[in-house]
Amino acid sequence: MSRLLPLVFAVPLVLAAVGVPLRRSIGSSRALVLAGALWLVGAGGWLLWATRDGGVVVARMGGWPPPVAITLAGDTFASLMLCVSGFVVGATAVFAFARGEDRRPFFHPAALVLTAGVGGAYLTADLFNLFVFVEVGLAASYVLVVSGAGREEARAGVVYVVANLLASTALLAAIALLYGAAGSVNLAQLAGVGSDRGTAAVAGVMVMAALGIKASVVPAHGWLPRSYPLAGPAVTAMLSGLLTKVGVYAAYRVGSVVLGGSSGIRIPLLVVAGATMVIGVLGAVGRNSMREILSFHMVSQIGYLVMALGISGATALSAGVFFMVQYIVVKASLFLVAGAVESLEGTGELGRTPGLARRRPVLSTAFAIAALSLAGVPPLSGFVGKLGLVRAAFDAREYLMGGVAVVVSFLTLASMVKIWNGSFGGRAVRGPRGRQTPARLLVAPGLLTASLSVVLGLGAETLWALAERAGAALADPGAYVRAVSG
Amino acid sequence: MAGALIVGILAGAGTYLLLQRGIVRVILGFVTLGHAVNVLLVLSGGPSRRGAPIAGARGVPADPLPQAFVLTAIVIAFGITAFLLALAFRSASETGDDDPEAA
Amino acid sequence: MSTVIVRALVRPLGFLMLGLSLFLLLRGHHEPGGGFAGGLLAGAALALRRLAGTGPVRPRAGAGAAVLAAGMLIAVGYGLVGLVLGDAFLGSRVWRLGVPIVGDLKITASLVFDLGVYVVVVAVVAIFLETLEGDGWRAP
Repeated sequence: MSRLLPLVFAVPLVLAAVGVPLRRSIGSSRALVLAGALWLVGAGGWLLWATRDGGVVVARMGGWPPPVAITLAGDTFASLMLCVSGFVVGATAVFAFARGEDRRPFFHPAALVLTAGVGGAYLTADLFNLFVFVEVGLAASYVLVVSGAGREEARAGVVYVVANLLASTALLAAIALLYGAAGSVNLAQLAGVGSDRGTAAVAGVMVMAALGIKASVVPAHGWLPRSYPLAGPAVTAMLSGLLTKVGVYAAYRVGSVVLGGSSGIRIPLLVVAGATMVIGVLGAVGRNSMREILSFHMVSQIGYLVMALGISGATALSAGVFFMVQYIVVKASLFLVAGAVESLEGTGELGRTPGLARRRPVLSTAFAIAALSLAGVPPLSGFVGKLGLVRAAFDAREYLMGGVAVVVSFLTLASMVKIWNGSFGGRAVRGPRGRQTPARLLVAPGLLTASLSVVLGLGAETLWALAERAGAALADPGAYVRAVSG
Repeated sequence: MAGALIVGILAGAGTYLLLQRGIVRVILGFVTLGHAVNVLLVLSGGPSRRGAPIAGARGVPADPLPQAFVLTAIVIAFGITAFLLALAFRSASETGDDDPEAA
Repeated sequence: MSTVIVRALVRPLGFLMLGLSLFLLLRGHHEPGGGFAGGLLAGAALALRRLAGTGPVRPRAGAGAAVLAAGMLIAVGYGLVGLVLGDAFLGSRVWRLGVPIVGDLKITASLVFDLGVYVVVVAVVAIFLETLEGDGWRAP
């Protein structure tokens, strides 16, 4: 069965190719996208089941022997990410259908290629292929971001493309240096080279830095809040759950396998994590539209993920994995609700839609759940994730980091309250009306993702167990390396 | 040494172009920067690291991996450059200049 | 660009370029060449035709995208066939044929993949030309 692993990205690619001639028929195009999303969820589920004993599913492309072949490897971490990414693609695609945002040229094929690129990036055990899959996903995302008609969107698109292209170029240069220093791009053969060979360690850190730009950590975070809020609402929601997280995911892999949790990167990572958390959340203060604020919070939450990587060790990494999985759901939910508000009310500016809570109780409930989860209020999933992270920080005697994480949580809560007061609270006065579309499908994706956050919070045990398995594998990548090297 | 100089000059020129305002210059900057990275990739290979891939081959074998990397990188860069140029063309025909930041 | 010389030469030159691009595609497995190089050369032939102004005035919109999808389908489909017939995604086979006159001919199954890449690259160039063919730019 393991040789079927390439199907994870091959099937969405085939669906995308089939979708191009079918793109005039909106119904079949939509069915194709949903099929691709379901496929990713299903593949993740299958992989989760196949790796339930902590094993690693490995496939070698072209049937070549181990050191020569390009290897794909799926473990618990990868399968969790596949599941949640497929879910986000599905939910945001339904939202795009409801808004009619998918009537832009090549929306469906691009979404499917994005799905394929992300799926491949999670599975590859080869740095160069990581670059290729990330590029495949990015190329599709360029189409998604830019294909809107507006001038603003074109400007945002240029910022987005240039920043990501620069990060890709840096990633490629770093991979070249790593190959020059260590003689391989296969993760198994690179295992631990970062901890004992000087030049390879430098190259490994460069790889991490390039991935950091893609994940938008401070000081390379500027592109994200400048481009995401201007893209289409459904596109923002879709990308928020996928591409920056691929950067973080790859950083976890490289940090775990190549750098082997070497102590030298601990302090820089923690400094970057703290700065990202604080600067992200402070950047949101002066903003006045929902999606702008949420974009800054996205930067801030990436800091939590980097913090787990910086602390390292099984506890912190487990908490990081848990946090990442639930956070993707929560963030997608927030962007979906913000997008729904924009579509229904015509604006996402704070203070322009007073009394939304009375007029649209379901939508407001979805926002409240997701916002509280983002801030980390019990019993929602965000609370479990943050509790795990803060506990790991205190266990590792990183009291300052733990403190920063707690303070930023409160600032996040304040920011969410600000959105609530600005857009949802107050007396019901008719705001500027947007389009009169059937609201149910617009609201449903946000509500669905928000309720998943509740489920992940109340039933945290299951996901926590999976995250612990993934975290342990990251802290001690021996089994992964053995499986990949064959 | 010559290789390092080439990479340095290309990277420097590319960075300079990237910092210009017009989007066409930015694209040219990316092309140049991409070339710098491609040369870097070629330089990163070496026959000293592993022997000839085919037993019994004579002469100094080339390292095949960086060549495959460079080819792939060129393919990707080609596609993205074409896309960026189309984007620049669209924004230029809409606004009359090629400065994406001009308000 | 649309001078007499270019217009006169575009047809023979175009055929020459197409032939050379096919040659590059076929020899690309062990020698320099391959789907990408061949596809680019074929794309250059298309561009030359467009520059000379002898190409179709306005190709059917979206034709390039369909060709692109076809190329992608060929490449991925090849990988899937390898998965079904052989033992791995993108797995390949090699056949040796003794052809009279030409001599020993070696054919690899991955030629199909190269063909897919070739088609994709030609399509990308075609789409690019199509896009730039918009209102602002004319062959001077």
